[in-house]
Amino acid sequence: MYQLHFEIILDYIPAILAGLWITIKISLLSILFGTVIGVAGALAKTSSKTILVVLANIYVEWIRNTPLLIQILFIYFGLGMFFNLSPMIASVAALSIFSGAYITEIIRSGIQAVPKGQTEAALSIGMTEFQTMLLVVMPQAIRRILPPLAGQFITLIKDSSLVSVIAMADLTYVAKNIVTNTFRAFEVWLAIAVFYFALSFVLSLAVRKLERSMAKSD
Amino acid sequence: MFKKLSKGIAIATMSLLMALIFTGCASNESKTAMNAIHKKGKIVIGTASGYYPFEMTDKQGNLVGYDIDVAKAIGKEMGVEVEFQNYAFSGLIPALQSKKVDIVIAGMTATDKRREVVDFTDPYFVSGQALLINKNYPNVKTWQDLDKTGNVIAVSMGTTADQTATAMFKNATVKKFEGSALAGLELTNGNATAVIHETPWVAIYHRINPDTTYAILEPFTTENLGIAVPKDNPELVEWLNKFLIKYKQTEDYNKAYKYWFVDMPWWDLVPPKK
Repeated sequence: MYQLHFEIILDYIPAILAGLWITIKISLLSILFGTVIGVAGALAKTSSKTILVVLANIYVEWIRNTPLLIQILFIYFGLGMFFNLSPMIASVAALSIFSGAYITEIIRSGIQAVPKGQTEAALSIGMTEFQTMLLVVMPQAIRRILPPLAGQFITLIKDSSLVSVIAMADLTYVAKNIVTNTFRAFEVWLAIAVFYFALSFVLSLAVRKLERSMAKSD
Repeated sequence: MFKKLSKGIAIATMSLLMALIFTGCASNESKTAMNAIHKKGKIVIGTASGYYPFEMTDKQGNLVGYDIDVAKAIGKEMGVEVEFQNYAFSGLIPALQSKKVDIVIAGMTATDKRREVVDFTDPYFVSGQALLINKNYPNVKTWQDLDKTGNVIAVSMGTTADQTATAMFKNATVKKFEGSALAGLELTNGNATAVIHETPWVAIYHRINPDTTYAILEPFTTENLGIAVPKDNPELVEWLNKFLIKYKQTEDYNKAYKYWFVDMPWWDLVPPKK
């Protein structure tokens, strides 16, 4: 019978915390860049220029219909043949490009859910297209996209565990390493799951608070 | 007085009963390992392909290699079918612990650390760690030369190469990948100074990538490869040990050994085994 020995985790707390920090860093950077890509993608998809729409569509469909693991391996080992990418840069690039495709769709749906009359009214009172987007459409869209966006961010934190395959020393890499050293699979993975849970849960609480404060400002 | 006595008897009976139950369980369990295999009509063998020439997949995706031949011979001798389950190397011991597989044949070295959680048969092969080095670092002659700050050693996570590198290399950085293929790719992409792996793998990887690598095949460690079995299955271990003695005298063994280690064109690059 397998006996649980959770005290084994205690020896590895510094290593786990180092891994946790890497996971936080990768996740936050990818959320940031992914959102930038997503905003750009959504603007391209809703623009009146056909070429931008086509390019954005190719990007979104290609990324959404291929596995993230393959994208990570491709960016690190494939592009790595030509450019010297550090695991950190490759990880953040892969996760940003991946989540950027989903965020593009989330933001696009938010923009298109704002009634056309709003845009027409704004344009007819003499606002430029840019002003209309920034001052009329976006504030209304953001409230709609916040819940699915939060879901996407949480998914991103969990997906970041895949970068351990390119020897990026994140939480999952540290965990695999401890398991191969101690053969204590259940204890280690359970502890690591708690860390991921804490990270994701804190983020979703923060978003919930943001949603509430936005509702108040109505 | 009487109360005390009856209490004593009660405790004695209870402990006797418990002892009987537990020894009953123990002997039952160790017997069932062999029985269960016969009952299922198949033995489930865990391996981790990609470790030339012990286990690899051919163009059709079938598992082939020295270990695979050993596994098939075991099935033949037991009179049962062989079912392979292909894991990442680091997943093999958890698979044994959770009894997902009956035994593991994966070029696995019988280390003390692994012996704490699984049992091993007598060695069926003697091997050692060798160095595959990036051509951009032409001055590396020994493993000590490699252990410099700034050097990156790529290994397959959970292998003895991983354990050796982590224990022996104090200054170089050890990067751990899922499987030796990715570790090798890290080297041929120029991001690692060296890959540490066992001699046959280093020889063949160098043969595939002669322009970017060179090999130092003289092993700097000695390792006994064994078949791993879940703990507390003495009958199964004993059976396998007897099988290995017998197998080494058969024509099948001679053929397999010759095929994988002697007639292979890359074998002449490998120094003679001590």
